[in-house]
Amino acid sequence: MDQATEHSHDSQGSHDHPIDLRKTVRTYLKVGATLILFTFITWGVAYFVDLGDEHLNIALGLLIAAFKVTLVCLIFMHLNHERGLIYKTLLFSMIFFAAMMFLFCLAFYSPIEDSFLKP
Amino acid sequence: MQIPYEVEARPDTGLYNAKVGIWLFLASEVMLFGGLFSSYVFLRLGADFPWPFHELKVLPGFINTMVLIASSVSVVAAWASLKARRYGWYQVNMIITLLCALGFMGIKSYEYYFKFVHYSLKLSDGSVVAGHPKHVDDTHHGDRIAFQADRITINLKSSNLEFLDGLRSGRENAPYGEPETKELKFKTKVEKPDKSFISSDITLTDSWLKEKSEAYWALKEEESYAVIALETQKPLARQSDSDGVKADKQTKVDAINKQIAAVQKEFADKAAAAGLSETILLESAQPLTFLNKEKGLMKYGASEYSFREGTVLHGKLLADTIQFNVDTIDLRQTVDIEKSLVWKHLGTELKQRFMRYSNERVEEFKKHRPKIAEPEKNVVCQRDSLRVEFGNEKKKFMSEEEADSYLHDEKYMISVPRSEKRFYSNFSPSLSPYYAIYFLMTGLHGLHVIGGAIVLGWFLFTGRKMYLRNPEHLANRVEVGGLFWHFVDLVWIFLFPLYYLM
Amino acid sequence: MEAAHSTHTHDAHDPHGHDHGNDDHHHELPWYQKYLFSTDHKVIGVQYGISGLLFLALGFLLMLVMRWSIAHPGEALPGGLRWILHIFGDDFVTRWAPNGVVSGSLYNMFGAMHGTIMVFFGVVPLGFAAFVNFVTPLQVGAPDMAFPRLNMWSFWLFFVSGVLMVFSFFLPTGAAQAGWTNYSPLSATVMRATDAHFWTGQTQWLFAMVFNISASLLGAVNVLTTVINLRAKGMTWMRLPFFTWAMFVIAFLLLLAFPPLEVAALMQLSDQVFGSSFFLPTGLWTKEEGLLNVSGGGHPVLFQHLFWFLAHPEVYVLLLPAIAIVAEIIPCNTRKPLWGYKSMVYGLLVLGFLSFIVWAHHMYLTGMGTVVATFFQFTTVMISVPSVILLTCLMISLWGGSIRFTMPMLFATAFLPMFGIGGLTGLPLAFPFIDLFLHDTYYVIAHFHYVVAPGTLFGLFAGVYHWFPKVTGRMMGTKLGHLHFWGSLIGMNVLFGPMFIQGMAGFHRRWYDGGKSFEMTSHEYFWMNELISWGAWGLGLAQIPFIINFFWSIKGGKRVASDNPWNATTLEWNTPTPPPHGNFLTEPVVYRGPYEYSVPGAEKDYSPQWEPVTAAEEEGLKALPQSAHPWKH
Repeated sequence: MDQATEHSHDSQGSHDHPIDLRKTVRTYLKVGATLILFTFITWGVAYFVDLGDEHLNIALGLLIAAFKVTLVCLIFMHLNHERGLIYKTLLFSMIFFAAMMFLFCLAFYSPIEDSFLKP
Repeated sequence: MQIPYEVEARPDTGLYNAKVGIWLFLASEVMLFGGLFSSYVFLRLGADFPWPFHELKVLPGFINTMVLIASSVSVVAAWASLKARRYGWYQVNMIITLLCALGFMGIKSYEYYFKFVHYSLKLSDGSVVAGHPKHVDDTHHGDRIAFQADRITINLKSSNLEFLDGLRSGRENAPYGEPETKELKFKTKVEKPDKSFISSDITLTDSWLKEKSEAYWALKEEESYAVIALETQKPLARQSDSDGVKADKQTKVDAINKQIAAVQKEFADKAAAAGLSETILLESAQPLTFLNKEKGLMKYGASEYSFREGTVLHGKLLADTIQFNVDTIDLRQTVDIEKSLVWKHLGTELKQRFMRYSNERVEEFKKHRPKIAEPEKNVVCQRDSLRVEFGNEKKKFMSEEEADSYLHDEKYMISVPRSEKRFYSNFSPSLSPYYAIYFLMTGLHGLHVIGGAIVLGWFLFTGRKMYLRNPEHLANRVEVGGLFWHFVDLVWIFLFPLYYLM
Repeated sequence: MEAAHSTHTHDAHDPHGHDHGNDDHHHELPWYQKYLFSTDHKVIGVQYGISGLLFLALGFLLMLVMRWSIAHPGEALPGGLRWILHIFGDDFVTRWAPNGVVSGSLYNMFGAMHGTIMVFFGVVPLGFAAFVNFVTPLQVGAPDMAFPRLNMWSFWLFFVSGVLMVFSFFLPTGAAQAGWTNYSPLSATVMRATDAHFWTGQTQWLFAMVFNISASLLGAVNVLTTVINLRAKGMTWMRLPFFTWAMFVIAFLLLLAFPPLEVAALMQLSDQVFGSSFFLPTGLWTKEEGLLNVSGGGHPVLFQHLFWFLAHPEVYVLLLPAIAIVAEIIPCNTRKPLWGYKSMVYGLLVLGFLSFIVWAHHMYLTGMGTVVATFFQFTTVMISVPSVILLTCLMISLWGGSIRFTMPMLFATAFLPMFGIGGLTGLPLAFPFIDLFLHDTYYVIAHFHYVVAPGTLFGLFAGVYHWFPKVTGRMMGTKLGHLHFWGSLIGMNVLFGPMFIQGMAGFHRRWYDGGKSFEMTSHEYFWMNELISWGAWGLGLAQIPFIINFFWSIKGGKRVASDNPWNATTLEWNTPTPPPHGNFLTEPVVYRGPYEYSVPGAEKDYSPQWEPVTAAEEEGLKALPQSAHPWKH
């Protein structure tokens, strides 16, 4: 470790500023703790909270998961300050993913057929 | 020319190559898991069976979520340590990450193992029981088909002696004991074209089978070349007499057909003389008892038993019931509980416990959701009341002695004739589309964990040289590896509620 | 993460060091690293090109056998064709074509493998992988791909997948027989009753596809990173040659569309190997086995969704390389700028985007919901707009040019009407009510073969003739080239033209006897079966001059006079011929747009991207009215 610290004066022409390790890691630990807290919440919600409808319950669970995922993306994956190109790439893959999921589900929706089959 | 922007960022995009690459790769990973999640939704929406929610044990999944979150923190801390040029901290954090990965895979394999030894049996009326097949000795034999054969038809095209496994597993009753050590003596019978038989004594071994089948196919090939040579003369025969009468053409073709038949007979004789034919009948002096899994089986009846690979046993069926230690009963797909097929096989105590548990759950459901008019028709209520896990009444994970006594406890034992079976499988992908996609998604996720761990381990164990040369380069690598690792974590954050809680 | 490893090749040197004239330390490479396990994008491009051409030939031969069976059902293959079967060994013949007569299974097998090999192992590797690897880094002014080692891995993964695919012919069950689309439950049941347990041609097809998809993903990441991050100084997005733009979009299609097929392949693999029921519905019954011993409860339609989610964008992966190549060749040979470069680029982007949301027009017959069918009908009609923009721009580019009919230009001009026919005949199929009638008929076959065979293949041939001098330093011969061109043009049209008529008469694509055994077939169109097959033999003959030309020219072709034999403007012509490792002698700088031909005021009729704008040119441009500034991008 000692030997390594000699390199701490960043002579290699890096574009990033040297970071404050203690402060950064503290942020990461806080985020980690939040994630763990919300894992407990997901579990608790699934067992003790009942919105009265199965679909709502699923939506609630996924919402919490989405919040956790957002945290991971923003803080751990540094998407809170990333270059435009990366957002564009991810935007397209999210659009196509959403389109895929939506259209797959839409394939089950057939009002004409249903009007024949259902009494 | 050197490839530019390997370490430092390109000014206008602000990114170094590997970072562009990994984000593109992650975009495609979004589509990969996106496809899987979409398939999950599609299968769930279109399921024509009760979707098995709340069936997995939550605890292992819960712990694994924690483990992955911890590893995510440590991998990003490892990157920060490198950025701050603290190699020691980098190493510590990387080691934590790798230990987490190891822990994750450990818990995962534990989960998988208990599913693979757990079986589910769906009866033809839709009632389902799950549990463990009855154990005899160390192997479970409750789900084998017992068949006694004195004659065996071997197909030289495809037989591979795999059927002997059944003989091996039935060693208790089999007169020959283990076929590896004892010799399997048979009398072979080969039918000649004139319906007479040639017979000889042989010892059945791999090499015998191989030798016979090679000899037979060599002959067969020779025959087919001779036949093809004649067949190719036919079109010529048809063309040659464009002026002639139609019958003339026909006689030529008939002549060729006759030649072909002669060739075929000649080869059949030759084969019979060498004791060869496509199928060979083996006669055993004593009856052999086979205990076979249903898997490699094509079909069976009271006196015949055919394997997928082509071997047929002749003799009599001894037993084909499935003997089963029940730990779960699921009657969601039957109309009337007491008329269901499984009900007539259950012992009184299990029946009582089932009814008691079921009624309690319905009452509980009514109390929780008073607004729902017909609780018996609600999916959640049905899941709670019509599916009883006897394990839930006891401890979730049994100790070794308990498990042992459970497996031999007559109270939990049911015996179902195979004719009432609709589908029988362990808790593997084959059980239902739900388990199929569960194993596929968690399995793929596990592969990602293994892949990520290998790469991060590579950075940990070989990073020092690069760090001394150019610490920024190593930091970039760890950042890229870390991004992948976070993505893997992120997928799990969705997988956990989707499979374990919903 | 593998991306990170790829930097390894340079680890031995100071990463911020000076440019080594790379030649000196690469001369010492042993031959197998130079030609076989090379990380050089040009060598990899050539490797892809040659394997692509070989697979195209193999796919073509399979088709000849099928065509024989259709034209002459029940007759033994003539000696001239029978040798094709003997490629796969004598056992293969006795098993699948007893007495030399093509059996139904053999037809199915060759049908499935013809499609698979042509699409995934022929056209994509040649059209996309070969050209993108060789040309794109040169066009953007990069010394190599961004991740050279990854690039090598990509090729060898592809190679493994190809070997797996070809070797499935040798399995006792034969190769896959369930069509190139490999629909479940047919694919799950067709070889179920065999003794091979799960190791069947169907399974091997899936394994090969998983490898192929992984190779494509690695390749796509590489291409995208190269274009994004390794563009030379001055190479702005709107100065990228259209070829590179198209390759960029294709790489995106591959990157985002292939994963769902990987999912589908893994699911089907699970169905085959682990006995799961992703795509097997409840109550599945076969003649051999009765009620199948599977859990059921899955959805066959799910496979089609996942498959076509890839396979529709894949259509554009097949097509766009040809458009891209033609867009390079037309300005160069008309000596005027590409008309509507910008609108072509935007059209391309819209096309790429829309191609992701049109997939279910392949599935009108599956009985999916009416709402979703309407949606897909709408998007399908919409996607014809950008396609027509591309084609129209290319056509208008010819207007008023002094066209040089060089070999590449011949193919490029033939591409335009051929692709036009293919594209326009596809439009009716977008409507569910017409598709119900035409689905799986020869009409569909004719439509997409017009797009892919005389369309894409002509574009690819044009590309081969165009860049051959850059790769080898020699031109391909013109006499043999003309033989190849006219033979192919006539052969293709005799081959595919009558299929439209047969298709509308209701001929089904999977009839191995051409419909002879079906009473309801329109008998008056039987003669076309033979005519089409004659077209196929003719097309086969026309490729012989190409093969001779190709190999002879490597050593015996006319040596190029300069590094820029076509007087073209894009950066790849600024390198030595053939380009050395590291490509450019000095770091290239780009000063202008990609297609500046006949710039007013310029002293020659082409102004390459690497030459700064002269004062005379600026004067000349100023003199033009603002609306007539095709040179100003």
